Amino acid sequence: MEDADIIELYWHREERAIEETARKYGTYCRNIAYNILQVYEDAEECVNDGYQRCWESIPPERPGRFRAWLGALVRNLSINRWKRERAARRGGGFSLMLEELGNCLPAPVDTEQAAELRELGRQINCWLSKLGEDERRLFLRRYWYGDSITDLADSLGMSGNGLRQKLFRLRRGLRAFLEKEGYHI
Amino acid sequence: MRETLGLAVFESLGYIDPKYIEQAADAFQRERKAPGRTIKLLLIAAALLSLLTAAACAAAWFGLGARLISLGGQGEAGAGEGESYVSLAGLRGSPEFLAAGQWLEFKNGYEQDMAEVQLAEGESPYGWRDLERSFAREEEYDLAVSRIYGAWDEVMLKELKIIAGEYGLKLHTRAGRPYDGELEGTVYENGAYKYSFMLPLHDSYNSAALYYEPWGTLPALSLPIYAPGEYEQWDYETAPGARVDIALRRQSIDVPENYEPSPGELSWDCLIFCRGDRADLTLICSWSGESKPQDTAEDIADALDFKALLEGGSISAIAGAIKES
Repeated sequence: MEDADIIELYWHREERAIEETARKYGTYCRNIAYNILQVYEDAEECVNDGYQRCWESIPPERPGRFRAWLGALVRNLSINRWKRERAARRGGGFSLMLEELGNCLPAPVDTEQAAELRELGRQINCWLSKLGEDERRLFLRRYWYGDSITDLADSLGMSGNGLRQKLFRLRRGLRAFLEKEGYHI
Repeated sequence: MRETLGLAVFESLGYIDPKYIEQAADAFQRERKAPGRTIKLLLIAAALLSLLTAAACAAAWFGLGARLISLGGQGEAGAGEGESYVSLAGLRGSPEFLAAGQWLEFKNGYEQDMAEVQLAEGESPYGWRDLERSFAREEEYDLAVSRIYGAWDEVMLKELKIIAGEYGLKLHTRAGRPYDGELEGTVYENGAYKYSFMLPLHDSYNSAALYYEPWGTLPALSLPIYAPGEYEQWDYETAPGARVDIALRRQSIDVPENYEPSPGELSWDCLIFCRGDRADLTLICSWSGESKPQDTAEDIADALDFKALLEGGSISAIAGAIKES
């Protein structure tokens, strides 16, 4: 079913909208949630929560890029859940990824302030727009979707070390860009 | 500190242009060679706990007719137009079959009733579901089974336990999600699993799923089936020597009157069953465009080593089977 048709179902308040969303994007959403939470049941619950939020948001919303919009919704729910339970979750794949990303930011940002995050997001968006499509995709697969180094290296036919080097160069590039844009300690 | 900074970057990525998210939505795919007229069936593996005898595969008729759960009749088999499911463990009359029918009947009816009540009140149809399972937090077992079986409130949890107890079955208490190459799935504490994978079939890839369910536990997964009365069924001995039952159905398509669709326009649903002496295996797959669908179904059955899967041991990686069609 086309995304536009699914959105129409939401607008007509047909419960089938959730079934169709789950059928088409269930795996996609579970991957996003699982890469953050690393616990099967928690990921499943976040995805279900995402469907419910989807039902509550459409209407009035009518997302132009439904898959990306839904992915972002599930991602945010998963981040919030991870934050709630972070004391028990320290370590693991997601923490490792955050450690990597931490090197990109030359100055602290108040994560409670949405405006600061939005501004940082705008800057990163600007940096992303200057990358080639393959590099941008690689960066987002690792740091938006949370794919593991092993999976990425495997699917790209690269060694783990080669991929780490490539990601390191990307992160270093992002850091340099942010510094240039005024992010200094 | 660095983790906190990383979290800031990770969260701020939530504000980037959705078109970039969309562009990156599909995971990188490993380059694949076109298999031509060859079926290469990549099959998983998992830790199979049961040791099952090959002789159990060489059995008689254990096909769809004996595994069909038609709701509306307490799990009785039939080929009516109601909602139908395939029993993933046990044949008609077995505790697993009867309990699965009763649980599905209850669960579907209850969820629908609750959704209707919510909708009538202008609320989200899922709003009644307690995602945090606060009703089951006191007992680790209750929390685990509620999550695994999708029991969203105390009523559902209670009914689930009653049904399992009535038929002397265990409930799954742990589920995990291993990744292995291109395969994705769920495994349970007793070795039961479902793996989804792409089935290379001639010059295309088709989605398929394999279920393994040892008896004695109520399956957590369900496999709905559409138009069970339209399936053609036969039993077949595979090249590796396993006795399987095949069910095949042509998917219905809307075509103008007097229009005869070519084989390339037709799609097929296929189920292949193999029964061990302690567990059942069920493969479900679909494909389009094959001129001899019965042969294709048998090719798929030949390409899988059902006996090895049922005999178990630890198959730690993807086992490949290649069959010239």
